[in-house]
Amino acid sequence: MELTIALNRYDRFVPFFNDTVRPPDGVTLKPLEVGESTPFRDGGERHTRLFEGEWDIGEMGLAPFIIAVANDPNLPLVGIPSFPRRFFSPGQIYINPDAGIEKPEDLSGKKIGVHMFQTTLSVLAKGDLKADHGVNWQDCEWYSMNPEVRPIDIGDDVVFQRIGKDKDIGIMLMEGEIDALISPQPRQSMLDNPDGYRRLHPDPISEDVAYFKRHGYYPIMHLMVIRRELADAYPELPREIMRMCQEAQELAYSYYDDSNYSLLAWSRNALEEQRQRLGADPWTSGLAANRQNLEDFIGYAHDQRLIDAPYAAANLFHASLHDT
Amino acid sequence: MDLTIALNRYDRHVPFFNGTVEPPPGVTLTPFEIGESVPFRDGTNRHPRILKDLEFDIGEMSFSTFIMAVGRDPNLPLVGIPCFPRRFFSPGQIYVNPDAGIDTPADLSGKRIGVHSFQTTLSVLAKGDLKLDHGVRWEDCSWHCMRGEIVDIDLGDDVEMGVIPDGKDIGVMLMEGEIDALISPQPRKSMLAEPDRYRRLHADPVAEDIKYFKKHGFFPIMHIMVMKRELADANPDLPRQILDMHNRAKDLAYTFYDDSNYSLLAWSRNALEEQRKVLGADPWTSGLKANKKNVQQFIGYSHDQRLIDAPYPAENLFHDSVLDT
Repeated sequence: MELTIALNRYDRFVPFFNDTVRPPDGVTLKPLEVGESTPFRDGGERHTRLFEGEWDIGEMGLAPFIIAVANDPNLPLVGIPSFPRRFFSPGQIYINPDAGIEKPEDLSGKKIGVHMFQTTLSVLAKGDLKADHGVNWQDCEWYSMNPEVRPIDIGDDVVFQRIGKDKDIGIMLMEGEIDALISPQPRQSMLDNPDGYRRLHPDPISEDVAYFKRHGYYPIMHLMVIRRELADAYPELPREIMRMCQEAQELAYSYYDDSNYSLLAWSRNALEEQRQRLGADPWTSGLAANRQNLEDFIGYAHDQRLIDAPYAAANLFHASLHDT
Repeated sequence: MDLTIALNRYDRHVPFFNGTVEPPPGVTLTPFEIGESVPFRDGTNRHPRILKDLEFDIGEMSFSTFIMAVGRDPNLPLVGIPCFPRRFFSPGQIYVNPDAGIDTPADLSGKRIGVHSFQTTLSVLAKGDLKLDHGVRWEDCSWHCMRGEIVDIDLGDDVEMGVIPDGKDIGVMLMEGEIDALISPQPRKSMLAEPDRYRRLHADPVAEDIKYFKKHGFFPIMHIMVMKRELADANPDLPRQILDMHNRAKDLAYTFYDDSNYSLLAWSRNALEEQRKVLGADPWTSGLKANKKNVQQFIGYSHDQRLIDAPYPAENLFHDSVLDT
């Protein structure tokens, strides 16, 4: 059986692309390197294309998937509790230096840029700002770069709009049209002009570590999904994909055993420090180990009017993996 | 033209393996993932297989061993290309036994020191750096090698050097005090299992590495790309095209880290931002000119360590077609 799998190009997915992780018996797995907002070797807009059924298996945004499952319990895609992308929100917030923002509380009422309202990092940051700092997302104004992957309706009492097609959100931040930007990376326009913006936190790592101590997890951004009819027809397959993700991740950790694996001259030192701060492996798989994280996030999605009611984390995953 | 290239599996070589960097026009390049002391997908012993077996058309080679081979045979069937896919600062790669009484580099004088081989590039660099920067003479230490030398060496009778017995693990030897220090690009597996039984020489290795960079001005070369001389002579555009391909792969690999979540290292992007402040935009520079001081200093170390009979110009390592780089 020949199956396709759409993945980002992370270090931990390299084994899928160079055949150093064993596929399930009888399966030939064809990996595609597909970005989301940035196109990679095999294109972009991975999440939308996964919903359209273009591939058998793939890496999906947690927030759009939570919305989709809520709207259609028989969604043709079903989740696997492997989580290839994670972010702490405190370190991913950039601000205009003249916006009068010194601490998270100062974001209240501000104009904030995001990729989409439903982008997982946006949902996490809004939820974290409310839970940890009392900043009501309803009091801020939201400016998004991209159309929503799944339709949303957040009502008329919140200021939320897409920026013009000709606008660059990085320039908007640097020119003061918005006050802050929540993004997994500075935009190219910002990288070209590093004095035009700064991070919310002068020591983002300490803030991220404090978050980990308080909440106990490294927050999930993406999960693996598979076509439901495929998982139903081959009930071993979801667990096998989870195994592959784990083995690939173990192999990728071993890359850093060599102190010179990375262009980062001190990658091994960084891994040693990370293990002191976050434990041996903050990238855990399985439903049980991630339930708290998932249910906190489903709560955020509900509070942000993306789903009508909270639901159990198990609803996201194929029945064959509810014991993981 | 079908060519083979033998590479380590670094982040910067990923584009060679997944087809995201274009090969030279008319060339199909088959990449092999080959380790040196650790086996990877396509095996191990990359350096002897490139140098002695001439198994690959192009490959990533030990800088030190290549300098020795060129020193002995000016018509070596391999010729260098000035791109350098592996680099190390030596201060951060030295581990010590906590009870050996070693608190500063100068304390290594006269000590028993483990290395992969005497000629391993990191060993040569560390010996040279210890002498130049700290006055520790390698001739006064005793050297304990994990394995034999790829190119034969003759140190004379006044230096203690030998290969550890079969069945011995150099990490265990360090932890049990049979040696005092170990120069290695990574702690051995035996050491990773018992992290309290060894430590780095420097309490703040990153700060020491930065000090080295400020003093010497480079991130020291470990490996060099080489290709078959007859191939380079017959296709004089090819060495530069491989150099260019290497540069494009490296540039692409830097962009991996634009995504703050590229790596299992949760703060990889922060680390890259810090690195750029202390080492500049790209300490992995290619080309002869930008690396001449580093290459020439290392050739001096090789000579001082009796690995070559006489120092020679850096140009001798490279194909004529890339001498203006």
